[in-house]
Parts: sequence; C-alpha cells; structure tokens
Amino acid sequence: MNQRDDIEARLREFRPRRPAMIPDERLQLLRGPIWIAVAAAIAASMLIVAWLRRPSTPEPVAPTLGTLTAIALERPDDLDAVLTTISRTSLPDVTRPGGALQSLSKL
Amino acid sequence: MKRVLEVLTTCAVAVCLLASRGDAQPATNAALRYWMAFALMKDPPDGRSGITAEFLDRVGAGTAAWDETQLGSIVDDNREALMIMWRATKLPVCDWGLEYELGPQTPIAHLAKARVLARLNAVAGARLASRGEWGRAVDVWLAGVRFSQHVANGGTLISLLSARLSLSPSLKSLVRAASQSSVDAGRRQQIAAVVGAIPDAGFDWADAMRREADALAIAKRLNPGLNAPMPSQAAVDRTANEVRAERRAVLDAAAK
Repeated sequence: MNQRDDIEARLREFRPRRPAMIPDERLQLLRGPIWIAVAAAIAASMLIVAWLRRPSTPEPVAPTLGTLTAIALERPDDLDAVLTTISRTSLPDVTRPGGALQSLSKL
Repeated sequence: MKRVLEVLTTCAVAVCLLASRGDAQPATNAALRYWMAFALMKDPPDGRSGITAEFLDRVGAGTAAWDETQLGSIVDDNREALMIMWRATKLPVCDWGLEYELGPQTPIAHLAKARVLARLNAVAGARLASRGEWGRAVDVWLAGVRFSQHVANGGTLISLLSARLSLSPSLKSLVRAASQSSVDAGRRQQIAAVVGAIPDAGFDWADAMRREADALAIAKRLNPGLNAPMPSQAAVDRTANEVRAERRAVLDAAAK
C-alpha cells in the first residue's frame, strides 16, 4: 500500500508541459515583413495625428468694416488671428523667399 | 502823400497775410507715416516655423522668456518700420481717411497691419527689458500706448477693439516696468503723464458707439433688407471696464 502511495505521489509531481511549436517555415519568412508593416502602421498613425494637430489655416477674410466687425462681435477670440492673417496677405513683402521678385527672376 | 502811404500800408499788410498763409503748413498726418511703416514691415513667420503670434504675444507681455536666437532677427528686420512708428506716435494728428460712406464695404486693412506692428513693438520692448534697458523699454511701450490711440482715432467699434489688443500688452508691460528699481522717478512721471492723458477707459467708447450707429444707418440705407442689430452695450461696457482697470494699474504702479 505504501509503495502504491509512493508511486502516486511521484506521479502527482508530473506537470503538463506545453509542447514546442511546430516549426513553420512560412511563418518564419513572414516575421520580417510583419515588423516592417507594424513600424509603417505606427509611422502612418503618427503622421495622421500630426496632420490633424497642425494649426488650421483660417479662410481668407475681406478686410472690410462689415466683415471684421461681425467677427469682433460674434467670434471675439478669433479677431486677433484674423487680423494677423490679413496682414500677411496685404502689402506682402515682395523680396521674401518665394515672393514676387523671386518668382519673376526665374522667368 | 498820405494817399500813397495808405496804399503802401495796405499792400504791405496784404503781402504779410499772403506770406503767413503760405508758411502755415498743415500738421503731418501720422497715418501716412504708419502706412510707410506698414510697407516696410516684415510680418513675423507663421506658426509653421514654431514662432506663433500667441508666442510673440506672451514674449511681448513678459510671460515668456526672451529668446535672442529665435526672435532677435524678427526685431532687427523690422527696425526701420518700428522707428517710423515711434516717430509717428509723437505727431498730434492721425486721420486714416476711412470711407465710411461705403458702409460695410469700407476698407479697414490698416487695422490688420497695425495689430502686427503693435505686436512687434511689444516684442521690441521685451528685448530691451531682457537686456536690463528698462528706460528704453518704457519709451517703446509708451509709444505703443500712443499708437493704440492713433489706431482708434475716429473709428467705429472694430477700430477700438483692435486697438485694445495693442493697448493692453503695453499697459501690462508698463506695470512691470514701474516695479523696476532702475526706472527712476522722472520715467515714472513720464509713464503717468502719457497713460494719464488717455481716456479713463482707454478710448472714447461712447463716441465709437455713435459712429457704429451711423455706420449701421448707412449699411441699412445701402441694403434696406439688412437685419443687423447694434452691438451689445453691456459687452462694450465690460471691455471698457477691463481697459479702465489696466490703465488704473499702471497709474497706481507709477505712483508708488
């Protein structure tokens, strides 16, 4: 009886073990491209986030009494940005890089 | 003989009157000088270069540190425009010659240019302050105060609201300057004199509202179907009170 218990106790010491994976050559071949695809997906998502977060360019606004007064009264927080944008497009510096003189010099 | 003397005297008086009429030059219009400054002004780069208008405003207000590498060239590139502006602010007359008879189509592009020039002025003052040249910085900010008065001159509400965007940073910077030990009593008196000379609420808001009503009447005459109400008096009063407090803060700081 003791011997039998002893055997059972020894048997209980055995634990199931996960078998090793069956080598799959196709999976091994895919390992490289999978990581490249993952990296590309991360880069693409970062680009999309950066694009979404970029400051939006306000639509051109006519620098007239009616338009600017309406903005000042209805969207006062936007007035400063609108004035700044209008300033860039009125009396533009023709000598700046990409300005009119640079374009004309290429003709 | 007496007759000849009378004729000669009359002729002499007439010549003197004509000569005095020729000598009387009309006062130089500061608005023309400002347009010259606008033409020479180089707008700071847009946000893509990392220098946003908000960042420049923070630097101008002293809430962001001066960065010579990033901002030095912006002030240097606009030195001539700023110097024209500083001189023009000392002129007594500023008439923008706005065509209010055009109603809502009245061009007011000068307000956009003026806003940017005022921002550059505030940044130029911050640069001087960062070098410890508080006296010169005070001169720049006082020019900013006078400039805001010229921008608002004869304008409707939009002129005052955009001029206010230029006035407030100058007033806040002057409060900081007044707390500096290097700003002497003479300079404090100068601050008190310039800021004390502007209206209690910064501008004549009541006059601007009258012009606003006139502009609205013209707009309705040009377009009878127009349904545009007058701006809220409560909102205007709120803004006026904010500017009043900013002006009071400068006077209090200068008096200490």
